[in-house]
Amino acid sequence: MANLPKSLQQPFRKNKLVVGSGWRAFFAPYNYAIGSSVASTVLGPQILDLTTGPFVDTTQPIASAFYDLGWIKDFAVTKESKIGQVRSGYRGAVRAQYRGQVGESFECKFREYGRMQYKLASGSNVFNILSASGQSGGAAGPLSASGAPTTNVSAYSAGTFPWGQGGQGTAPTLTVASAAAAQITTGSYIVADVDYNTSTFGLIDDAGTPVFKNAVTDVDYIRKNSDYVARVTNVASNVLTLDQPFIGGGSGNPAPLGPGAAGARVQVVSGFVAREGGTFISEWSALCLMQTIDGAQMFTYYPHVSILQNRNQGANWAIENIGTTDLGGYELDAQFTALAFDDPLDGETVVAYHGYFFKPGEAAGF
Amino acid sequence: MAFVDAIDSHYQYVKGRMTTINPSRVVAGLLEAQDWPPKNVKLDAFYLLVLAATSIGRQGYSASTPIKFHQCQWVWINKGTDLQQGVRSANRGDRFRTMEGMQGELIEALYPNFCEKQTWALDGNGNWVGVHLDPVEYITWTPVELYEKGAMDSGVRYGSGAVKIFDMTDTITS
Repeated sequence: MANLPKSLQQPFRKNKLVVGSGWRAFFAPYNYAIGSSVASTVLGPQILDLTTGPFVDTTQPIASAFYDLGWIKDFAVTKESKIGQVRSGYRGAVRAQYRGQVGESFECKFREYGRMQYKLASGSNVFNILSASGQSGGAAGPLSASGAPTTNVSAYSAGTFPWGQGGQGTAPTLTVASAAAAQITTGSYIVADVDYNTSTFGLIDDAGTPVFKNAVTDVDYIRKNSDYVARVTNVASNVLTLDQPFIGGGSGNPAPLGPGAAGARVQVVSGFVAREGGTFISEWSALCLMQTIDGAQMFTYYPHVSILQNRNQGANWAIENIGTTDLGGYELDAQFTALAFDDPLDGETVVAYHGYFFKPGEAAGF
Repeated sequence: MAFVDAIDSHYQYVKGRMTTINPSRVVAGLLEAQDWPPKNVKLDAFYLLVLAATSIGRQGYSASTPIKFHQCQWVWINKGTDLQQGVRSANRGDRFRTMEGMQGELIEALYPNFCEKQTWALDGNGNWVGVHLDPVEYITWTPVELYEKGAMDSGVRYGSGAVKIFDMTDTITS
């Protein structure tokens, strides 16, 4: 039977199958302040050095900047690049092909629902809802209340992964002038960032929030837009222990200031809100990873992505065996567009890198 | 390499994890379902029963590398703890907690639903020794389905956890 045709018996090499259980999303902030001021597409994105892969997703951040935003369901890529054809001759046969537009979009559902996932999915500037007592001006607009008590930041330590959870790593800490003055207690949610200087405008602060000239008078405006949000797990004198480090931000020229910047203050928040509309559109660098059970890794790296549309935040995730109740898992269904990146290697305009790291012992070539 | 490798590998993997999850828990053996329960069965101990091997169907057809699902069940019997002399209490009333505890241990031991497939043989000291396949292969299994039933006449409780092991069997070359 040695000469039995292969198409009849369909032999396959077992280690050429790619078996995994889904994708995870890692995002790094885009530097709006630099990226929007230059024509170069290389400035602004968080560059991922692929020679540092395969990437270890059991620690954070990956490649110094990409944070894990959890399991993403229904990750689907849509190619929008076009290939044009030149037909000629009596029969109109295709004589040549050329590449036309370049593009790609992808969508996914964030199964973990958090502020950063929400900012990505909504594509807008997500406002922190200040919650301390003693504010004024709330009758003017839904987000207008301001003047909540603050306290100065004197030091910030980002800690080390997994940030004290399970007794591992080191928890982040934020040292403030007076926790009590800002009504901060154990369990409080806080935001840490600088005051808004009402004479400034453009893309302000680490979150790259756009401000029109003379449009904003709220001194809390930066903190309302800041990504630097965390939960206080302990208050010891004026040292706040945080559940996670402050992530996001990323904008600034020449570099973001960070949550420990001079003049940073802390306020208590209770949640977040996105508006449909406005000017801001969020931009990111993204890395999606899928590990296989035998040690290979598929990855997709988008140097520069932006929201295409915020589709839904419905209960798409059916929770089995709930019975007649209407419980479901609420997911953030988002769709992104990959923006242009002129690869410095050869100057080609591309939008995405889809790759694969070998598993141990596999046939590498084909 | 042998057809039994996937089952052996699954059994040895779960048994190995159990030594850290509950070192006192006995993983007593691997046998055909028809032979269950064995003579002198150990109580509160896990056994792995092999029921059948079914084919994957059209989505994975290969005549030369048949893909099979090994239908297996982890089973155990809880009698409950006998009371000591002079103690008045409901007899063997801890069967429920032992049953739930063993189910929890089994779920942990089956994590993360895959392991390396090796070929196993006894060494000179009677110990099972696994040898890596070249190239390395893996097997996966389904999330465990847990069931229990009681025998009113004897008062014992039977527990079971069903899994299907996905196995790309040895390639037939000629």
